[in-house]
Amino acid sequence: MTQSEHPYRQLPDKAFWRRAVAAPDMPDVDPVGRFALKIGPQTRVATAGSCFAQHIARHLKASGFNYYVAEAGHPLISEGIRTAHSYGTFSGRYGNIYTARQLRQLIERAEGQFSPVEAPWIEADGTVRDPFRPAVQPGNFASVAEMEADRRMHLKAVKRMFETLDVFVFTLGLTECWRSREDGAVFPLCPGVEGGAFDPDRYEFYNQTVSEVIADMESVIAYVAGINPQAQIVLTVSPVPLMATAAAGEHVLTATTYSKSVLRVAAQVLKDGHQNVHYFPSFEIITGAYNRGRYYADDLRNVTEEGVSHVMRLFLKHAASLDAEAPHREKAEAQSTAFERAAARFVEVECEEAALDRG
Amino acid sequence: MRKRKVLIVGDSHVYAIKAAVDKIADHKTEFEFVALRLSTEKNGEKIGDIDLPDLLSVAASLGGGDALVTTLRGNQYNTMGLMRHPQPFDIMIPGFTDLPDGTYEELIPYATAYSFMCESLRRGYGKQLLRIAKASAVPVYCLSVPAPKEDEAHILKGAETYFRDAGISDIGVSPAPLRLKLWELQNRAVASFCAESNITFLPNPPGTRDADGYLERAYYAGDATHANAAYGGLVLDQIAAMLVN
Repeated sequence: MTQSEHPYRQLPDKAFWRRAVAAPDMPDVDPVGRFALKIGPQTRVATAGSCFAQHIARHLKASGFNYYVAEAGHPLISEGIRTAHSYGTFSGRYGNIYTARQLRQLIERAEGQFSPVEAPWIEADGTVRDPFRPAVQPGNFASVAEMEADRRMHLKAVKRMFETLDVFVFTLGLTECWRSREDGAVFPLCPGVEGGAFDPDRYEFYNQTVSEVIADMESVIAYVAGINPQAQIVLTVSPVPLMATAAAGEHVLTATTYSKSVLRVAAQVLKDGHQNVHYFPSFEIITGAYNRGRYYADDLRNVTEEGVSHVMRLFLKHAASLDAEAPHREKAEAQSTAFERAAARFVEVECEEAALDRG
Repeated sequence: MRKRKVLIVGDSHVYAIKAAVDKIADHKTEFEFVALRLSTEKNGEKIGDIDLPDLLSVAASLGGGDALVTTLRGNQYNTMGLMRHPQPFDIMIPGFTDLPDGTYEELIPYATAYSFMCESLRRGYGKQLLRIAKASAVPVYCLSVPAPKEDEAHILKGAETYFRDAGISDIGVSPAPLRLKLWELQNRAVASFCAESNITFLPNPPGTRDADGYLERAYYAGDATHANAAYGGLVLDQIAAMLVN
């Protein structure tokens, strides 16, 4: 190697910030590195995760891919009502799965390896919530018996989903959660926020470390490999900041940075450690400085439709080999008003976490 | 002295009442019962006694102590569940019998099924019911349709064309407890709709249901769904008693 030669000389444009991030027009920025996964129209793609995962599900459906729903609701019921009742929001009717521990726990429950001791949450009107998916049933369940029967069906569907999916897309959302002091079961929402009653003697705050996230996801990956050896897993990190933090003394911004950093590191470690695990950089597409915050709505938290479209355009380009045309520069400018309108309209996602701060 | 007119209008369930009205035509009561089948097309033929525009005019002409009673449609519960569904299901309603485990594949949550019933009503004949109710200044009542029949053999023997064409004899009848729950759900949805719409919902006449909640066999019409003239007579008694009180 001569003195003027160095390793960076041979690197592609994407390795350089100026060429790959600062210089390109916003719609042309493509931070996807190697992405070996390919999906076709018949590939059964299942989704789970935090609010952002709902966008992935929605776009997969709209793009004509085989968005796999293992718990679709009974066909007698109209699609509109089923959608309103959380059928098809994700591939199972599990609601938002914010943490790696929650996903691991769901699998353990579906496999009968873990039965949380937490009793159903009874509302003042006598209706019943499932503590592990408190917002999936508008109007709540009519009785404990109904909730338990529905849960049994749900867990069967979860198992069926993992047995039969081809690709599992999981969006890691949070590290913070609340868990039972009695048996360690974690909840998607702090008890008392959307059902249940908070009791510091029964529940404790739990903020996952990177090693804990990795361990939980390793367990998930091993489970999937065992039950469905051909299955591929795509990890993404939700770009949606925390609604609120319960970490003592923390500012929500630093807590968000911690949470997302842990999840991003974990995703990288998992991807590097498994051939069937892929990372898709939706986090970078939304949070990258190249878009100057434009992919966040006015609340600086929700992602605009424009941002979601950028993510999904790249996902379909790389995973489905669909070279979906990037919005042309002039066209994009001409349509800025339409984009602004779209940005102002928060994409409708069911985000239980929003219940933390209704103000 | 002018009799108080009670206009009873509906779809197929009105026939039982029409038959009862015919039987009491010469009775001396303070009410003049008029039961009319709303015109519709069935198997390519127009059937019924009165078109909707004419009904709206008649409804508008009612006054004084008159009353308007409706028994429109009301068979959604049967459409959903008279025949066994290829994806067998149950709905759990507190106080009602659950189907045994293993006899169904899917549970439709009560709130989901109820929302669906309400939506179907609002988007379907609920609009017609509101239109009729708004056309009249007199009190408007809405009848509960008769409770389902428990006897599966009777249902198979008398199944209406719709169900025969759909192959009910091969497919079979849904378990009676499920049919009863679907009927109950429909009733609750209609009652709620009526409460929001200033329409008085009338439950089945006393004594027309057995201890388990099904239609008493004495009130079976020959088909799978409807009640007979005796039942219609009890409806007239129920209406008369209510209007007198």
